[in-house]
Amino acid sequence: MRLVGKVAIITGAGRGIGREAAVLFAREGAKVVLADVDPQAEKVVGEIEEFGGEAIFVRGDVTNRDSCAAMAAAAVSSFGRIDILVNNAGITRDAQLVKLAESDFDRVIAVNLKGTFNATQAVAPQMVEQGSGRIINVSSVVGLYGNFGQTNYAATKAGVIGMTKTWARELGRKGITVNAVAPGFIQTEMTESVPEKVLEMMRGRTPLGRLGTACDVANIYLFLASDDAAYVNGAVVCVDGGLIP
Amino acid sequence: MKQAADGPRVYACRTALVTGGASGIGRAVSKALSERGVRVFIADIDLARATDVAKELAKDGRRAEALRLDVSAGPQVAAAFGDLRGQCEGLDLVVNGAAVLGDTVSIEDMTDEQWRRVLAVNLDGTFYCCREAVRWMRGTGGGRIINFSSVAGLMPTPGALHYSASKGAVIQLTKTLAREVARYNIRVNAVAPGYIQTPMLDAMDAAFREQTLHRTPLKRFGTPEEIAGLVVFLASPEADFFTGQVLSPNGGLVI
Repeated sequence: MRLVGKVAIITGAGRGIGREAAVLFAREGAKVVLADVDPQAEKVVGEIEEFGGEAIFVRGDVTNRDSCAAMAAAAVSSFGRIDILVNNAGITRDAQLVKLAESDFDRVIAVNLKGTFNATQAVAPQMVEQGSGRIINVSSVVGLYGNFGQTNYAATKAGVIGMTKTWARELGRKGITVNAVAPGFIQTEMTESVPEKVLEMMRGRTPLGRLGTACDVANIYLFLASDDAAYVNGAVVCVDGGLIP
Repeated sequence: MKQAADGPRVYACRTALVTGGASGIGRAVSKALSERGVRVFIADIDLARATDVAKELAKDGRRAEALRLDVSAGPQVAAAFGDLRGQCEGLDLVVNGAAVLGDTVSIEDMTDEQWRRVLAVNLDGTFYCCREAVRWMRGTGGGRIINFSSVAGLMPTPGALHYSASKGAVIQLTKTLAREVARYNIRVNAVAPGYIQTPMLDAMDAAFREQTLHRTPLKRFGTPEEIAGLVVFLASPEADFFTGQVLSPNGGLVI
């Protein structure tokens, strides 16, 4: 049990990697605040309670600053502190540049980039007051290499790296580490609509010969939240099977 | 497929070789692995010290063995691996921790010997051990190799041209090897520590240490145990999708 007594907020915790991470963190002894726009995420709380874990669900939207403040307040009022924030919430609205609607560009920026800023700004003061904390942002290999049809998504994921490195400098002296995880091609609901032909190509470009799982990524969140990573700050950790860009 | 929600984790690594395992970070790595039930072969140029560490770890039914190894000598590395093959069925993990800092000296004053010594231990040694590890592991279903780079391999380090060059080279060796041997189920990753409380740090100039601390956002040096924690993680099943990566625990010094 590596997170005993820790309080963790995970945004976008209702599905995919976020859900996997919420369950994993709870199994490792953390009290987990699951934040999601989708009320279905509440089911994950039940799942966690089934094995004796502690969790609450907060319905919230990272694009809304009041909602982020409420999320932080709920964590403190329920569990007394916030040790870990995982900015996991993210969406895609793929289209090639010439066909990309402005609304789809703005929406992805609002959730992935500004949402990460909103949630962190709501939570960081509590961590500063405690003199400790772990912030885990979610970037993507797409933010490092670009990706066909993902102008908006790639821009947000590169932006997350810039914020991560800046916050690592600003918050380090307060005892808070800030790191980013950059998953490669991971099999989740997000990739369900990807044609098999493309998935096959992705496997071909991955030396380990398979797509990643939500579990592969959740394990890295756990690692960055654990004592083992105490001196890791400002890093971008790729979990991509050795992907050849 | 392995799910996070399944019962207690089992530490899959059973046998490990740690070069430079008798002092500093290598010693902490040997200890951390041993505490998880791994049989550790502690290889060091200083056999007496390696033996002391092995004795300290070999308790409560745990196995730890010392061997003398100068990683810069290719035939000696091959012979040591030959011996190990006689002692265990397979090696799950090789940690290439052996390294020397070398003298602080500017290029015009650096002798051939100073240059060769640092490259021989840090780069040649890593190569020799990787080669023997791959030759063995590809026949036993795979394994893990963890190389030691340094923040000096990520950023320029004036006065330590040889050290910086050797550690930068270890990164490309790691990335290239990771792609070459992924098909054998061998994962190769590198750890690039920042400034860590070890005998190597103690040997550095006090003013330099002070300045480094000032430039480190976390405002402290790392501990060998923190680096050992990373190695334990990289050797665990949780890091199964990691290969060709460089993890740099440096307190934010290099971002």
